[in-house]
Amino acid sequence: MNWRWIGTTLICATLQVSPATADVLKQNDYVQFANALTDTIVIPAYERFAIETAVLNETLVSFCANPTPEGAKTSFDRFHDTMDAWARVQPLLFGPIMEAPGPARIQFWPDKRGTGQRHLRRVLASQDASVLNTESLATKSIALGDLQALEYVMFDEPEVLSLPASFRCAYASAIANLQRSRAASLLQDWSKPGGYRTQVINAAEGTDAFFDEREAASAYLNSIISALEIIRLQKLDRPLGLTLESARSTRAESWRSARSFRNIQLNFETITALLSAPSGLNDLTRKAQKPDTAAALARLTDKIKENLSRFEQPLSALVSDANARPELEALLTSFRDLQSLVQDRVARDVGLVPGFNATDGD
Amino acid sequence: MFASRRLFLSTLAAATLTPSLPTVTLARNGGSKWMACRKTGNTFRATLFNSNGAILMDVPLPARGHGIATSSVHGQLVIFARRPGNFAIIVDLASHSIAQEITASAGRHFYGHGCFSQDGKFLYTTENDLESGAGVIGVRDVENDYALITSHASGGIGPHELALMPDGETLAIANGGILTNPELERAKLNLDTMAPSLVLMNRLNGHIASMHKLAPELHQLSVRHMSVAPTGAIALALQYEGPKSRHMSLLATFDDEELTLIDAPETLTRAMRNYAGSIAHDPSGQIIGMTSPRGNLVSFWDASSHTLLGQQTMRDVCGIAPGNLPGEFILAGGSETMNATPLSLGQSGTFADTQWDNHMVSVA
Repeated sequence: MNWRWIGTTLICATLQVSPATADVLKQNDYVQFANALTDTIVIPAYERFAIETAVLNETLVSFCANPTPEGAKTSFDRFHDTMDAWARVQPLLFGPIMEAPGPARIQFWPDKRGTGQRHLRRVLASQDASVLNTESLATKSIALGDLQALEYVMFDEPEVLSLPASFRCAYASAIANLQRSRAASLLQDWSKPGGYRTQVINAAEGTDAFFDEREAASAYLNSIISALEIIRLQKLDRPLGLTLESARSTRAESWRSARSFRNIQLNFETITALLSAPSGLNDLTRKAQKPDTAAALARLTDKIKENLSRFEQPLSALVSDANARPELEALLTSFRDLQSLVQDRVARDVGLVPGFNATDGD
Repeated sequence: MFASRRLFLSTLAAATLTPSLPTVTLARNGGSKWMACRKTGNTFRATLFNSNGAILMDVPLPARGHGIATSSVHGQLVIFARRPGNFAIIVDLASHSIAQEITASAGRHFYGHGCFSQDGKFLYTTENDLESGAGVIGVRDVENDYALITSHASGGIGPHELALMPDGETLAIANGGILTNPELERAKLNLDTMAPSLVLMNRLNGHIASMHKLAPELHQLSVRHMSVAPTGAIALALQYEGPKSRHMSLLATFDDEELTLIDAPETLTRAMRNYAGSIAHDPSGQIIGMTSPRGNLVSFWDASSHTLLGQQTMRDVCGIAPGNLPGEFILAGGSETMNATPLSLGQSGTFADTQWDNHMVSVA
């Protein structure tokens, strides 16, 4: 039996309208919900990601030209800033980012078969100069030009980065440059005239991306559900394993840069922002006259936020620590509770119940 | 999923798949049975039920299931993993037990559908060759523990449903055209260049007898599911990957020569939301039923004239199979099953904590 992929199934695709939709919500409520989140969360998150990748690229280029200890520190700081910005974008699982080959072109993770690592090791061993040119890097395996590759190149042997004219430094710059260009495209694809922002804003009239405003609103609700599922199954459950013996610290996201929890925290910040922003999901739930549901949402998100802030060691260390596992299991349970709450109760209350059979392409 | 992994391991220990409750009552109207996959709680099952909605067998699955292949010859059926899964579970109907579990070979995954040869000796499966991305038809020897004997190129990318033609020698294969790779989740990698096709293949040597495509401007209409009438006419259910501002017709037919897109009224195409989930003929072969889960509707068509006979509304409807009498279908959606004809709809069963999955088959 191959269990490799069990649990990677995302709840995805279009949601549909439940016949039991609360009549309380009007077309304009869905329009406001999707529009507000687009302008207050999505566009700013992509702007920030575009800026951070550009700054990282600039920093690495000047560091590689003149490697100094301070420059090294700044480079690693800017890497973390970029990852912070990416972790904030990561839960927004719809729109241009989903176009082929999907979010993996920014971060190819989880690398369940070790494909990325194999490619990387080969490139580093042979010092394959073709990866140093951004245009040619863009045509290669996405696992050679993503943030996961950048983390490997910078953190696997950080001291090598500082060697004069090091291959690693030039390669890191090329990846950063490729990511700068991809981040800029994503922002552009959202904000240009007729871009994805316009598709959301005009959804009520029917656009190329949405049949109607409920589908646009569903994209947000669905994104929250999928993001929670990814945190649960890929970021927590996979490294934890079923038992202490089957725990795998290297399955934790960003374990080399020791920022697994930080990624989850920032993912969760975006998720809570989608809930608590003005006209966000909490407001929509209240407009549907379900204050109890809104209160339950607030309680659970507070609890998770507090749980997350309690972990001080990296996740990669904690998964194989028998004492820490109960708390990690509890965190997992809270995430599962929140996902169920959003998926079942909130979706029903706001009239956007996911259709089990409506998933793409089957 | 997290809970299902644990549950599945413990459930496998159970000796029999027959539930102790409720009491099994055979249907009065001939005792036909149907099987479909479903999600219940955090577990996935394939469930055999009768026309009263009584569960006759419940097979635990390691993950979400999809299509089911049946054979009346040896009483075995095969439940396939949803793509990009790699398990297929063989169930023995007489003993109500899992006979065997097979796994896609290295570098391959199943696409979710398969069919038996008429004599029940061979199982044909749609598969993805990960290295090349090419569609493959796997041929397995039933009497030799379903060992893979050979593979044929499907003639396209993303083969999905396949069916045996009435001549017993030809396989009809729906090459959906969409390139995916499990390492990139379910991302669709070639929407701009996709080229779906219906392929007719000699099952013995893998020779492609003919390949049929819709007009080039319709290349984003993925050919995914099919039902073959006793006459050999094929009805195909399509999914449109282009802009949602275009509302496409989703029924195509193939009558010996040409793949034809059947016109549908704009009100219907708009309601179907560019997505048909499953398709079947009624027991007479005269009527086609096609489900649209995104539109919560099923449409019925005359299999000869291709005119629209009627439509019914049912939430999340997807699974569809022939009913017991001419003109009848069984539908599954949400937690319910329904008896339907082009002009009527009535509940036949309701199942606790159930979300019925995409497909249903009738089991003799």
